[in-house]
Amino acid sequence: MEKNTSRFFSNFSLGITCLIAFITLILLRVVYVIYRSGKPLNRRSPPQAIATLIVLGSGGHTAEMINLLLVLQKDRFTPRFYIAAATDNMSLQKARVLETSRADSQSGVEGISAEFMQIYRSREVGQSYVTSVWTTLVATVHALWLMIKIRPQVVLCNGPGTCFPLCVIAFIFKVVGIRWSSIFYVESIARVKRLSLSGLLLYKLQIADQFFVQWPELQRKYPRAHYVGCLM
Amino acid sequence: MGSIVFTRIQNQVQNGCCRRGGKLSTRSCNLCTRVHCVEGHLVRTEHSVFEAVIDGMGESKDGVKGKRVVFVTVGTTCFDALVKVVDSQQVKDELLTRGYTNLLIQMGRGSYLPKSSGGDGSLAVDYFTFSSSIADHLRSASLVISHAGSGSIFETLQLGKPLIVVVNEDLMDNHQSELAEELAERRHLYCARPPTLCQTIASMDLKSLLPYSPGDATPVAKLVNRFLGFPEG
Repeated sequence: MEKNTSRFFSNFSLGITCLIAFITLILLRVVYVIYRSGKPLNRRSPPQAIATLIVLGSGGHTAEMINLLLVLQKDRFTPRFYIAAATDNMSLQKARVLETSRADSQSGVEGISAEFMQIYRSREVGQSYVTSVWTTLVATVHALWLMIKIRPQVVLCNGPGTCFPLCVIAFIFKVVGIRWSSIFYVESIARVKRLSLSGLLLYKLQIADQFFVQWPELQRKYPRAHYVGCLM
Repeated sequence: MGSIVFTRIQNQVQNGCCRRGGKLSTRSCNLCTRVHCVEGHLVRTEHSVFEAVIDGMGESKDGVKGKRVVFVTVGTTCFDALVKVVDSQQVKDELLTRGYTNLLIQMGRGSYLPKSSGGDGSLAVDYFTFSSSIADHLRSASLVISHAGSGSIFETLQLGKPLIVVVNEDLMDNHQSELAEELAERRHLYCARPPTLCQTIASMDLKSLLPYSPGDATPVAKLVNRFLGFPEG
């Protein structure tokens, strides 16, 4: 009787010790990833083409993102994956127009190196918070599915709620070692004095590698951000 | 195909050239309403965006003499309060007094229908819900009254049009008003709320508005490229 209970307790304490060790390892890995993410990538040779995930949001978000994409060399950031919320009809259309217009202006034949996808929204505007729990779970699983397919090396986003689950998953991929990616977040031009919720979370949790703001007051409040002036 | 002549919004005509020496493209970008050279560089000036005029085609589209259009836009939102106040007799009279002849309302997802009217010397009112691009409407307007969405605001400012931004007081957590107020402080536009719109129209001095220089995304691109280890240039 006593042997059984003592064996049970020793197994139990062994289990607990392993669990604590495992959690500690994960935490150390997370700290290392955050530390390493803040630094520019150290490469022996310049990179070739980098798989890029571009998160689009309704209205002004997409307009700003397109503005940014116009000054990024398309042969460096390719293949490009565009993700927009399932209920957002205009954004993917605008991205398609951008891709076809840029393909036209190049001489020679190039396959369109871009894909367009939709993702379930965590929460619609005005949706009750109770039902939002379920829809957020569904959205997160869907995000995970898409990210496993894409495994991007660069994530570009500028504020819509859709970007938060995607960035978190990209970060988890870094921790677990599935794919190292660089997450760039540009806070929207409409944010002059306060960050958006996505921005605040990505800044505080140090998930974004580089965090850009367009108005000087935000740089004063959030010193790790880079002030880049207005994009529009 | 004619050669491209770019006219400034004010009056001077000059041959535009891309700052980096690229050749001019034959069309303006239908996404951002700005003009790009064939290399994809922006054609920029220290003032407003150039309006492309194809040489040999004469004047730009709104050659109709004497028509001064006020274009009201609510983007993809529902902003009945703005449509209602713009449709009020007070505001319409004020616009007429200031010399405007037409009122065109893009009402978005709103449910309030303006009273269409026209002729007989009063303000001609017309409306629609959505269009795939409001750039043409913006270009032919003499005054734009817009909701506080950043897309509408910058599209209008980049075309060099005088702008009154009306902030929607019914929105929760109104972060949009920050942008409108900041740009109003910098004298690029006027900022109002539905109850104060009439007063703003009565007292506005459009010549005192400062032109808005288009922004530039290249600092972000430089930082991103450097971070990833791409060579400069």
